[in-house]
Amino acid sequence: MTNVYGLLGAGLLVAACVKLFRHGPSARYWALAALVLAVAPIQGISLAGLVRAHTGDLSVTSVVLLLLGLGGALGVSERRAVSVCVVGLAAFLYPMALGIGRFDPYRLGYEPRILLGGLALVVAWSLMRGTRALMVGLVGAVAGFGLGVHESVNLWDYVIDPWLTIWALVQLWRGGGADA
Amino acid sequence: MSRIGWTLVATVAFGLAYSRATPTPERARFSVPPNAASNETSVAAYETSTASSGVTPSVHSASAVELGDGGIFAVWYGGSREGARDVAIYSAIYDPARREWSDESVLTTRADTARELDRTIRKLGNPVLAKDAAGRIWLFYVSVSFGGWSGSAINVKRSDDGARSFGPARRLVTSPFLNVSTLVKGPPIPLSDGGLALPVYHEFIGKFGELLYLDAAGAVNDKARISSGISSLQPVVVPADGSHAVAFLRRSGGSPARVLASTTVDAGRMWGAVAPTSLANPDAAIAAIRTVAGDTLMAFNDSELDRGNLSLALSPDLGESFRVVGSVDPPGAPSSGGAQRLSYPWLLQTRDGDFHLLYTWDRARIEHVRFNRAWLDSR
Repeated sequence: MTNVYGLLGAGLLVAACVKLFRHGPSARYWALAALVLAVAPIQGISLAGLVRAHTGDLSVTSVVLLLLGLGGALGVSERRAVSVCVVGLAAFLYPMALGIGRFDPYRLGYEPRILLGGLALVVAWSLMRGTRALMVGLVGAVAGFGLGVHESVNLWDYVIDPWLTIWALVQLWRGGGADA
Repeated sequence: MSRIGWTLVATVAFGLAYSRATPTPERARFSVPPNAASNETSVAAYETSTASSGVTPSVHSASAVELGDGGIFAVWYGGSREGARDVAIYSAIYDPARREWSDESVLTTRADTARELDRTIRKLGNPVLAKDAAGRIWLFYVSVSFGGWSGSAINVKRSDDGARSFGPARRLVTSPFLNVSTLVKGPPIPLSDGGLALPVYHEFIGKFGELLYLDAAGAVNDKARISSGISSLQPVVVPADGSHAVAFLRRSGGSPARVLASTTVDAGRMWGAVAPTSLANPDAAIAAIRTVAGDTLMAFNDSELDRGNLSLALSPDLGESFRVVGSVDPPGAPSSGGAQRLSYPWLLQTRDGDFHLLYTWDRARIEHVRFNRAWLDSR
């Protein structure tokens, strides 16, 4: 199941790239076609397998946001809320996980009751504020962790990934006002 | 969906995740056999052989475990050169009675790994073997999809039939940053819960050591940082008992040019400050094991500058002090005509009490040295 998930995530990334260059009502059909072609194996390896080798497996949050974006359901305020949350988490996680100091926050993702508690607060806040994309992304990540869909057993890998962080930084830099 | 509906969905999702996140009631400890007197002869014995058989011009990074019948199963990576696309993991078996190695054979290739992992793989690297409490043999090996060795990730295969066959590769996710830059070199330590503690290291931006905890199914369930910063690599963990252990690390970059060490008193969850030992290190891999007598045997390059010799040292006190026993005899002058390089040692003590040292000689051969306690004590 984890390989299917990984290929699906990479395929969605390919589909999102195609959609960037197609406009109008036909764009989502082009994206769907790109997804199908990306996950179809050619001589044992698919385009999604090639992409996945370079990107790693996307977090569930990224996959949910890609689906929302491909469906045209990711508004400006939604993107801003997601981006603030993602950049905050990334600022906490990546510097120390990459070797700064002796504390490794990535470790919190293996027995993640504390991390789950923090995410529950963010989900509750987003539910009250009506920032639905953030809520759906995080609930998707938590559900994905519960089902073990990702090849990682660490909750962080379900919640965040570097590509999502880059996307979030770009959104904040652009003020969240541009179209996705 | 209404707010109440989303609240219900979120509650179910968090409940599912929380049930998966419930920790095991007791943290695993190192599984260390009690000290025992060696049952071997008092006559010093020392002999050498070559594990690789010249199938590939370049070989490196040997690892070995003892099989149930007393044979030694060894693996290394070989190909036209390090990092080439034809590099594969090779294996051979040593028959201790006949004192000879079998012909080497391919255990897995880059293409095998790519197919089993459903992603492209550019090159293979360091393999490490372990035998768990159930007698299963685990092969951990690194692969790279893009970039250099700092882009490595760890894969694992398992054999349930004494290394006659291995199951498909599975990827271990050990880093949140694209899962890159985790490598293996040191031998895993069996844990009290049937799992393994796998020493690993990172060399992307930082260079530091960590200990991964794997459960009996081979899933990572915890990790701990042995060192931090930019100047230590390739930890080798030597346990004294269930809680106490020392990790020896290869020094990289920073001075002093010494083997580094850090200790733990809680089965590896927290490690003390990294400090230099009395042994030299020219930025090269080391090997260390706990002998059945309870002391520590280390193989290391006794130089601050190069890998021209490979020496052995004994420590009665977990690395506080060492007695350098001497150097192993290399097989001859390198064919390249340059200075010889003896590197990437791997130590193993078999049930008969004999010690086995595997190492890379001039990147051309995997050399094997078999010696006993009497030989160590006579030096």
